Amino acid sequence: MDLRVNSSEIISQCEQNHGQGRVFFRTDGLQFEERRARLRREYLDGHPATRADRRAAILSASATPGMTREELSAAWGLLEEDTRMVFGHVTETPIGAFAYFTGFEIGESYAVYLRDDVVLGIKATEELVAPHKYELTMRITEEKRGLHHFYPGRDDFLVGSDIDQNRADWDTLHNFLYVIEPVMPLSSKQIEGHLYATCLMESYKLALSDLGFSRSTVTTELCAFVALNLIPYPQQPDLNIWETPPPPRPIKLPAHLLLEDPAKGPPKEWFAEIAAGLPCEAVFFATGDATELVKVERVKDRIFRVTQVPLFVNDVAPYDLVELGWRVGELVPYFKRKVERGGHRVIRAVLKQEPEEDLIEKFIRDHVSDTQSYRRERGVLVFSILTAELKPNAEDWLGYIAEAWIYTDTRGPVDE
Amino acid sequence: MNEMNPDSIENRYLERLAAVEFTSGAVNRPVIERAVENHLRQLELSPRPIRFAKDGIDAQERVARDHESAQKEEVDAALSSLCRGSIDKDRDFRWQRPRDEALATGRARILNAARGAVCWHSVRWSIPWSRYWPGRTGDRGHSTNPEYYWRAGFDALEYAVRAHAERELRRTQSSKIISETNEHVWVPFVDAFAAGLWMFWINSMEVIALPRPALKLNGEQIHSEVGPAITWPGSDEQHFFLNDVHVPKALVETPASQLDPRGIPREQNTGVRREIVRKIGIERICNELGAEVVDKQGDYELLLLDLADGRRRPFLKMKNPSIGIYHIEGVAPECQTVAEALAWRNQSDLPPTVLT
Repeated sequence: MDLRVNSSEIISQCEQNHGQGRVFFRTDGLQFEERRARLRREYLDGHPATRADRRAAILSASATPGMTREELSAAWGLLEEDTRMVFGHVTETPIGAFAYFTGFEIGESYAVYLRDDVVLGIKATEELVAPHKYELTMRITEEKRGLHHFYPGRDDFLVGSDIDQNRADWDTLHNFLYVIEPVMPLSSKQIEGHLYATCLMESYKLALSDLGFSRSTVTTELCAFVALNLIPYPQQPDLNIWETPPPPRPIKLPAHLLLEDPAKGPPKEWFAEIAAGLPCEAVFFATGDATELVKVERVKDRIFRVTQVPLFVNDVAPYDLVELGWRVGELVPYFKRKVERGGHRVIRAVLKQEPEEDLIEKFIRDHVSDTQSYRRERGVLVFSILTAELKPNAEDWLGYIAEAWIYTDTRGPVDE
Repeated sequence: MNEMNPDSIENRYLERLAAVEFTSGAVNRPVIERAVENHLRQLELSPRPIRFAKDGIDAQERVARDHESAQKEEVDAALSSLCRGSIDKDRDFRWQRPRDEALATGRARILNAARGAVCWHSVRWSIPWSRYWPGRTGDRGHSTNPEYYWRAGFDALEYAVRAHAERELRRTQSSKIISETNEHVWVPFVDAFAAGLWMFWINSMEVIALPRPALKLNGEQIHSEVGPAITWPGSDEQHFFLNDVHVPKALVETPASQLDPRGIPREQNTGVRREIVRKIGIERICNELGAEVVDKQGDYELLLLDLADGRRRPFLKMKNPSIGIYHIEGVAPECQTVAEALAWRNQSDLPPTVLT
């Protein structure tokens, strides 16, 4: 538990009245865009007795502490897309709800402090409250399954309910007049499916490419984060599909997803080729002068994870982390050094001339740890195990199907 | 301690509890340490250092950091084997009545009100802006419930009053020895409470002691019109109260002339709303919100108030007979008479319309 996020600290921050007496203008150039100006007009028309000073502030796209949440939204012209990545912490106390929200990117980055729906303070800050790691899953679940309240479930997953389990009345709870279901996190494939369905795939690809990634290199976490920026919350008001879509907003990545130094990463051209369909593979050196292309996926900088069991390369196993390098004029990287072992050990077996298929299938089924990563090509079977050595029983079986077999051997130290 | 003479001052627990001073925040650490050490010895727990928290936040941070080493269950188990027959006593009026009397004398109600303000509340993490509804914000996969930490602690007053309850039980019970033994378990906490101890937590490595805060009282109510009503000497932690109602800092520190009456209907807590009305004054509120009386019945008036949102909404103005002040409360827009407003307020079949 992060002790800094407690009700006492939230209330204390709120009661500091940040920015009291100051006005905070929206300055990102979008403040007087027609959609936002209309929002302002509609608010003021619906609230004719708004104080003169507040009215003037709203018309000039500026907010000030003391406004209500609605007045602040009108003043800054906050549309759904402006607050999509605004998250905060909320505490409900006997004297009201206190909350602060960060991530208002409106020229400068602001945090807003509230008691109930009154703005107590506004502060310019780069601090960001990160979304829950399954926020995208929750957002899509709300829309598709009608579940709106989410609680920790088993194995770090969530359960969702259509009612607030902490505030439900006795009858509802004891007569089970509610739905509560497990909510599994979305895979990148499911996220992309949703992006296709909502016609956001092009924006997604563009956003990934701006960040130096492609669909084949992006991790599920990053995929979810980028999609979170693009997929609107359900029940968004007045979405006029005939209107010209606004220019995409630049996506600000949290620190843990940022590359430390772009110069340490692969060359730009490689990203472009990967985006265009170049397989993510690297050249590894087999015995003699022979080379082999092995599939990898990017982790960070020039560090990649091996995702395929090599056929003839020794001393490299799936899940190992390796550093790759690029030679001048070449797009396909080559292996430089091993960085971290993934824990798998690879066995290469030369199969008998006329092997019995049933036996090979049974052997793979019973003795190969990761059935995704075995390969059988050119009379050779390579596979990985998670134990230090093959079990005696497995060795016996291997004796039936192979002429000879060796550990390749992937237990050695990594390279400095 | 004079065990033989129940009338000696040391054994007149009620008088000692009544004499406890609540306003200075003074703490006599050696007395508290002695009482806690004695308690550990009786429970057959190893001695451990006693750390004094400087305020409620400090205590909760310390407890939260080490909550896995809290020994609440072990202590409760040791106590129930030490105090024989205590389980039945909870249902015995001969024990319960003096206990309640001692709690009232020790001003447990005031301390509980203070605890409600000091105790951390649950926090819902990473709430999207569009999902924030004051008073109704739902969980979003991650929330904390720190009240758990308070429940892991022990209340010095709760222990102190048991000494008096055991004493009174001894007067009426045949098995005097049992009650006398039990009484001796709790007596040191009469001293500790008088010396300023409020709560303590027994962890495997240490005891965390939270002294009582300095309270500003008006009779039997926590109340301060100038500054915080709950503080600890040398600490920044502050809590504000008006007439026993926990209120936001701004309400106490803002002069009445600068408070905006239009904020009243938005206030969700009825106690806080009453204090705003009391501070601003009902006359000014009625003037500034352009009140129009549409019906009157005894001390009740049905007003139409202009809340600056383009509509005039009905509010019931009424006098609280017990404290003699007026307050106003929003009623359903369809109410046109005091009788209808009262019926709605008393949960008639009119729908509970959202008022603000």
